[in-house]
Amino acid sequence: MQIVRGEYDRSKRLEVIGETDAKRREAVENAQKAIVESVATGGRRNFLTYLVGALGTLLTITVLYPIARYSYPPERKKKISNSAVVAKEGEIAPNSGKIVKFNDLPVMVLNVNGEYTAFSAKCTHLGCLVQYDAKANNVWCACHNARYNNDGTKISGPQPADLEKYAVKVQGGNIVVSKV
Amino acid sequence: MAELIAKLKNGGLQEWFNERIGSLTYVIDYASKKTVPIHRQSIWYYFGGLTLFFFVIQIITGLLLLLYYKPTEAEAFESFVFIQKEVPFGWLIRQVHSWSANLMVLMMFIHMFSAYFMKAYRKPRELMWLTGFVLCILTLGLSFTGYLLPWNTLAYFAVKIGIGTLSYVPGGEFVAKIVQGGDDVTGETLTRMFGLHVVLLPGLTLLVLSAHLILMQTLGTSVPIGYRERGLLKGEEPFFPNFLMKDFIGWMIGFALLIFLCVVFPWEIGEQADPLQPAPEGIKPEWYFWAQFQYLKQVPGAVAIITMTIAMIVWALVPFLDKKASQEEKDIKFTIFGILTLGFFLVESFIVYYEYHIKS
Repeated sequence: MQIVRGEYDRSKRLEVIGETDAKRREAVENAQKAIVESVATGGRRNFLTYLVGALGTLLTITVLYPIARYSYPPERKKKISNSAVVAKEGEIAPNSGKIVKFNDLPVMVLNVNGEYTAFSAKCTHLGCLVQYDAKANNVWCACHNARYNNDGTKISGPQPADLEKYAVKVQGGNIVVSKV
Repeated sequence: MAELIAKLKNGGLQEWFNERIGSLTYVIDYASKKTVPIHRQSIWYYFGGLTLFFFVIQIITGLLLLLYYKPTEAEAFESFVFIQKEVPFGWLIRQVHSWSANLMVLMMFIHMFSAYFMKAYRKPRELMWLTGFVLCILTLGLSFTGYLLPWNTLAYFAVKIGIGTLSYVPGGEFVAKIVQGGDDVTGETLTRMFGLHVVLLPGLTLLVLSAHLILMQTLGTSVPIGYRERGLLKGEEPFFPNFLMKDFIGWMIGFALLIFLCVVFPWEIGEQADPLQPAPEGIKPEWYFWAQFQYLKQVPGAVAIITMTIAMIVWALVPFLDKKASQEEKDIKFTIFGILTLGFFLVESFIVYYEYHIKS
């Protein structure tokens, strides 16, 4: 008993399968045929098939729903404030920028010749954090060469939009960022 | 006892198994008579085996790294440095894991493009192509998820960019949130990526790889169109043991190259990722994502994502689109599509290489 290479014909392949295997296969095939036939003729068997199918679907949904909900991260409770102290005056040297957290979001605070601006530090292209380019006197993203003005408006590059702007002021030696 | 040994010597063990595994015996018998065609393009037959070889190395070194690595925001970078600097041979295991990943991706690409150009995807091997395509996606997924684990600046921003591309796909924000475990790349992302990298993706890869290899065993090796008819086939050699031995030589060359790269060009350790630092100058992804990275710089994000998705779907379905190949005829259209795809990868990657390594 040997299978010839390149022989894909099922009937010929079956010939080489031993007697026990053939018997076992026949039993399985008969059982399957019986089910197909009884479903085709309808009746109680048919009803049971639908019932099993419906229950199976229901069970699948009941299992998948919590898994899907579990995988989706829940909203963390975070304090949303309208304005916050993010740094001390003097912490950001003239002609430089610092990324601070405001409402859990990275915000760039720029100090250009003593004049402060603030905007989201997340590049609107693919979410890298931007930096101040002192040479060009504008804001630059190292990932894909996006450029913004010192107030966060788009100049050039692949990004679709401006950076979200925030208000910034110096109050009693503190730098305060607030929503616009 | 002596009787039993005598019985085993006369092929009794084989008989014992034959009686218990049933028709599987014939499958094994069938596969053991597999042959490999010999012709002037035979060299390409080695690259699938090499991809598999580097995958096995990934499993072994990956399990070893798991002994010390800690997948949390606070400990990831520290444990990564500990492996590199304190654990005996830790540097070697980590370097082998990084380099072997790169070589695995490289071998996979060579394997895929050679199969494409030899039109090995044609009937009856459509499913081999499809499972191979899924393996390609899984391999890139493994590379991407593994890349974040050192939790250094480079890893952090590479993953940020990668996930950022999702924002241009419909429903991408939803997927991004699940992958990131929140609105941004944080420690949550690290934990999720770790789970994907060490459990889900390797598990799926093993499953699909089994299908790919079983199909390989039953269908045998493809011969390029027309080679048989034009008498370019110099004969066939048995897979066991002749080709396997040659494969082994290929693996040894691959292993030597791997160790050479690890020792001479070690991967850097970098700085711990800081979510409040701007993206560093000269940031770029791993070489196998260079083409897509460059393309994202050149065209608007949505255009890039749509064109790349269409090209990928065509690529995956090529056995069904190229109807001529199934009739053992060459269709120049698909060869041109392949050359354009390969050209896109090579040219775009070269631009990145030029801008980041030569110009600066």
